[in-house]
Amino acid sequence: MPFVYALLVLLGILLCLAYVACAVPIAAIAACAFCALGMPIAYFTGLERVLVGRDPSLPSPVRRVKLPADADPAVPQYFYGPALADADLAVRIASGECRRLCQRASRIVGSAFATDLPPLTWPLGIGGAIGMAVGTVVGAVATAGCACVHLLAVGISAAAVRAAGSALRAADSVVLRVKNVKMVCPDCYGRVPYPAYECPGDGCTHRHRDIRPGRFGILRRRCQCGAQMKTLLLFGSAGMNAYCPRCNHPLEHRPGHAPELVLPFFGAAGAGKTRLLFSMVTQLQQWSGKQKPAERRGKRFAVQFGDSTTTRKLENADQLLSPDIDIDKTRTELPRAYVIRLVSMRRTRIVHMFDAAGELFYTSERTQELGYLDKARTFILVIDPLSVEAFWDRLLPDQQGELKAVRSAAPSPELAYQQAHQEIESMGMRLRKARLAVVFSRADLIDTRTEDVAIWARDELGLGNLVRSARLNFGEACFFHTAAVMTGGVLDESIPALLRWVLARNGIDLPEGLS
Amino acid sequence: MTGEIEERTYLWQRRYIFAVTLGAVIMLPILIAFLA
Repeated sequence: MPFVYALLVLLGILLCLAYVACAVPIAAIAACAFCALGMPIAYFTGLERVLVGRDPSLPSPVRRVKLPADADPAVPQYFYGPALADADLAVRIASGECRRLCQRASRIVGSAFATDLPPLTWPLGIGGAIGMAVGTVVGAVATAGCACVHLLAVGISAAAVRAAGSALRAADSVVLRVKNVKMVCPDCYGRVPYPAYECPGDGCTHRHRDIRPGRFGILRRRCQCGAQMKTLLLFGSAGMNAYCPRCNHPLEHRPGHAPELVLPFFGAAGAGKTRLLFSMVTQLQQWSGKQKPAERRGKRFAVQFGDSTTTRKLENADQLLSPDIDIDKTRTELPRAYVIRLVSMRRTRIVHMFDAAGELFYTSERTQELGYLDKARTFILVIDPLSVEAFWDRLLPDQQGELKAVRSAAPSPELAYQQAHQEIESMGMRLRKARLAVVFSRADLIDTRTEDVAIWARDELGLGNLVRSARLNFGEACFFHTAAVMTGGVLDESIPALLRWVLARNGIDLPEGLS
Repeated sequence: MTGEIEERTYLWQRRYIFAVTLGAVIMLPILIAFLA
């Protein structure tokens, strides 16, 4: 009998040992799996809440994107700050989830040591505790790995997005350089590195100073009103309302898609600059309107006014070219450019014509204010031959009587020329790369009696110094004698000749065979 | 209003990051096992 009892005790001990041997590892494996798998799953649950579900109960992110006070009114691009804020929030939420998971596991393990049947539950508790410890370590490593992958994805994406932004900016700059697009503000005369744009959203008046790819968007940006804007001229941003980023004046001519040509008129007061400008514009309009349909298909030539100010001032230019009409004197304020778009052979050029009052060329201080002079490569100097004393004195009294009313009372034309010439040079411009058209006005009243206008100017007008200086200092100088009047709807042939010389070298194909 | 606009703006970028992270975490062990 004692042998039987001993056998039963031994059997009991063996059963207990077997139970412990099974319960401890099973509990350990279960606890280990719970923690090791639960922690990465908890991380992804937190990530899902932050990135996909956007649970309204999410706490506010601690890290926030800080923008400078003068930043554009646009929503920051995701990979320029918000992605890191999201990652920070996801890590915080995930760590909270992991902590709760561990606390739950601890509670379960702890409950195993506080039961009425310790021999049965203690092995489970011991196994669970061991498994939890191992599982927590494994889970923490796995979760850290997941966090690293997440941060790596954010980092690589941010680097790729920023590289793409830089590449697009560079490509846009290269395209502008290849197309020789250098933008000029018709109001402040400054170079416009890139136009500012008004938000195209309904009723939104936000202005964006620099829409190029960057912290507010790569291909598009979103204004704070919600409207989307294209970020590059390459993508068609020129379709939006543009502004000069320096002076905030509107750039109605939608700059950025075509090369711009600055064409300054200078000369003494009353020399005929405005009349010449009006006649040149009228000639361009006549070329645009005269083309036959067949010619338009092959060699389309069109003239458009670039903005409302130009339209208002030039739409009736042809009506002011009658010999009987006196054009109002140009005001002595700083001029605003007349902006004209010329389209020929699928090529477009934007011409800024600056007509400053002659008084601005009499003193160095006033001429220095004409900041557009150093943006030009072709200049037009206008001279009234009647203003040259030596020439006037040689006229017969009858002729003087007839011409006295139209004679300019301005000082010698050489003063305006020398003043402008010196100021242009002092602005750092190399005149050897520039061209000068010297235009003598009033050909309708005075005959040159010679084919060569330069010789006439030297011999008859006594402007030999001016002729020599123009030829010496400028890369190219050409002399014209023009009649800026329209009789019977036709302009004098000197105007098309001048236009062809001025515009031909600037990639503008003017219609052939039309005077 | 700005919050709503930001949520709308960042929608696909957030989903993209989640998908890439999840995909990488699933694929990485498979890739390591395959290479090993």
